[in-house]
Amino acid sequence: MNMSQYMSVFIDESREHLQLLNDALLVLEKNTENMEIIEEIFRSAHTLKGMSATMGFTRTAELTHKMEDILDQIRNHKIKVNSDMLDLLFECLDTLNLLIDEVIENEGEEVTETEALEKKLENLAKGGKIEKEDNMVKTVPNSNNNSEEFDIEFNEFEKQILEEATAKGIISYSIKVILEKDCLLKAARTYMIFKNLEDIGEVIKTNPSVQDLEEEKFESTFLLVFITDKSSEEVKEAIVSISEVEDAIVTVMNGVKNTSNPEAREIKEDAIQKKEDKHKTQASKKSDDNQGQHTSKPKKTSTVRVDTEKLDSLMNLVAELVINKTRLAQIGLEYNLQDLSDTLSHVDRVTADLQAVVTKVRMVPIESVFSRFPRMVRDLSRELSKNIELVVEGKETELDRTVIDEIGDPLIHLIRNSIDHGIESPEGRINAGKIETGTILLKAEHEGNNVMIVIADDGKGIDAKIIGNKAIEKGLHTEEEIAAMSEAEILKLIFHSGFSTAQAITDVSGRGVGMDVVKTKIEALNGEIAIESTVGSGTITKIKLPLTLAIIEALLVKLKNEIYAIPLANIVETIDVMKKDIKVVQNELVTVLRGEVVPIVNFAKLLEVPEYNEIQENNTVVIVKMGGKKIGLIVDFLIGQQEIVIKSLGKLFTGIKGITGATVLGNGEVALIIDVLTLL
Amino acid sequence: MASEEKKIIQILGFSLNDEEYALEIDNVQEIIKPTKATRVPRSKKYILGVINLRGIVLPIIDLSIRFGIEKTDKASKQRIIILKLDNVTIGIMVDSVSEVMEIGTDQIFSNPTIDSTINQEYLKGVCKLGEDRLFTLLNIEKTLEMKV
Repeated sequence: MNMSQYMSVFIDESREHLQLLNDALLVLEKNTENMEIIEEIFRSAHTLKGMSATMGFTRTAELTHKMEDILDQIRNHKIKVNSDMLDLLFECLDTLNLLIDEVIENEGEEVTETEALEKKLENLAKGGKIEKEDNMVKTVPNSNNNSEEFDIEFNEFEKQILEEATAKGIISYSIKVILEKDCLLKAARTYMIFKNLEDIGEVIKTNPSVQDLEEEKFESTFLLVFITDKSSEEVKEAIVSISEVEDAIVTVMNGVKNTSNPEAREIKEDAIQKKEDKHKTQASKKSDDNQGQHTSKPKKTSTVRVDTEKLDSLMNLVAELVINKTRLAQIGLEYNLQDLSDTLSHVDRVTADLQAVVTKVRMVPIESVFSRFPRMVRDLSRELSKNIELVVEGKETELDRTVIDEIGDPLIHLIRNSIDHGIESPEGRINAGKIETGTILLKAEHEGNNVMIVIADDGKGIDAKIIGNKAIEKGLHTEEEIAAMSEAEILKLIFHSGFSTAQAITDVSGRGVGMDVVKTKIEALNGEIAIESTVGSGTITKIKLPLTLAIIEALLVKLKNEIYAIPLANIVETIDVMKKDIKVVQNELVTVLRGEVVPIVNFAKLLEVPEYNEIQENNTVVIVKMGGKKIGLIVDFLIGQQEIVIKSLGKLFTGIKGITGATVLGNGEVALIIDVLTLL
Repeated sequence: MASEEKKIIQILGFSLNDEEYALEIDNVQEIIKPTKATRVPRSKKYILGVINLRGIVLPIIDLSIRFGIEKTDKASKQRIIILKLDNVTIGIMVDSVSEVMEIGTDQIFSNPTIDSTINQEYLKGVCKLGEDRLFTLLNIEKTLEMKV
């Protein structure tokens, strides 16, 4: 049976299911008891397994099968959801995404190894702890018959040793040694304990410190962190064999598998759970309102998949229909055919509706971009040990898919900036008198013919002084210039290329390519970006985007017999300039416009129009923005403002400066669209 | 060519400055009458401009200029051959279009000894039809593979 015809369906559907799983897991993380969500996740994983098995993608099928095992146990209340488990499940999703990428690229061959993940899942399903690198700073409360809790803080070096040990399969124990109350030579006993232990392993840490132990500055108990490949019984034996030692409580430390003490393990899991609950109550203080929304089932919309190329050609055909209709109307008028004119008025309405529908079909909810951010914020905030809540609003806002395709990267960058530079560490926030959990708001809404996207965080804000100093340091401005600038003006400097204010380069952001790239991208989409910030209370970034890139407002101008369209977004104004007001300065034509010197260009000459007109007594000039500068273009005639449909000029013309595309005019002829930024 | 299996291919004949040329028909989408092309500033001379073909904007190449052949004015018979190559649609302006012919691959002589003003790499060969007709078979992909 030839499967290739089902391939694209498989890929699309798996992607859909993976996104669904991703969303659902995020909801589950917020509310681990949500059985409805677990059912949802289980069904999705099950479908995915079935599909991939049918297609013969064994690794995908195996991995989802193992995931399903875990989910089944959760569903049947056999195991509880915890953050390690969620991490593992998220990791599985990433791997599955990778596998599907590979299936596409390598024509059905899966490359990524899934064995390690499957092992972890198996362990989890058997009720074992997840084997993971232990970066818990504190040991978990001691268990067994002793209710006394203890904390040991590890420094980086010690943590590293523990991590390495765990990786090598060596077990880490925390040991509570209890000496007899009337023990006389405490220091000597301690020395013997150390000696015995060092024979079979390594003591990493003591509490109190070794020095204090030697000077007998402790009561009758002390704590040890000890790594060895021996069992807890053997360790205990090594200690209690020494006289005057009353007891030794040996506990396997968190994050180590193959423990011989199941009871201790269970208690530890509970402790982690409790810790999470505590964390959650803190986090949910501010976001109670959103909780209801989060716990709701991810909405499934039934869709028909259409190749975007087909949509483009549909758009073209509709445009062509409109043009031909106009021609027919002209014929009707010429030959005075009343019946034809009547019928055409009907056709007119139908084509108008058709055009509106086709335009709408091209619109996509911004959700398809926003949906990847909750996961990104989760992963990054865990990585940076920050508590961050992402609030998403207006994800149903629709934009043309050409805009949607381009807006993802700038948004990722801005949100990463907020996570990395904006939101403080939990301690920093508490010190600043804020609640521990930072909030990032991501909002989209319609505003006239535009869409406004707002990214706001309640972090530490951007200090205009630091930006100013940095600008001086980088030689972008002098001290005097900075002093004369308003705060808002200084903030704008972060859009300057090569500007990064991150103190240290982290994995997240701050590599010197930053806001300038974001700005360029937004401007390429005919959008605008603005930033507001208050030190101590946060930063707001606003992005204004046109609803669609396919249709823009433009001014049509005539140069001899040629018609060009200048995007309205680039035009400042149109003015009349007398020949006597045009001066020559350094071989360039300029005019003074309200006190500002504006260069003037004979547009027709610039575009090599055959037999172009020289400058007249009275000239029509279109003033355009070129970056920060203004430039006046002399044109022969202004035809008027109109909405135009942008069409690509194709590969042959890439790289032609000053021309960005073409549009079809009402008479069927092609007019070129001017790219003001690259004109000169 | 003799060692290869003989195949029949279809070619479209057209003329440029009284010389007969041909290209394989597989790439031909349609033939249209010339319409007014919009000049594209700063583009190469042999690009006449762009036209609107049912909503698709496509460039028109003047093959005479491309090959550096002297241009004769045959406006009434001029045609644009619309070609679909890989992912681009492109039009070529020719003086006239003659006919679609079937020829055997054994009739294509890949190493012509005749003098030609056209760069050899734009050619696939010369085909002989009947007693006295010779067509220069163009390698159209190569011909249109150009940078602005």
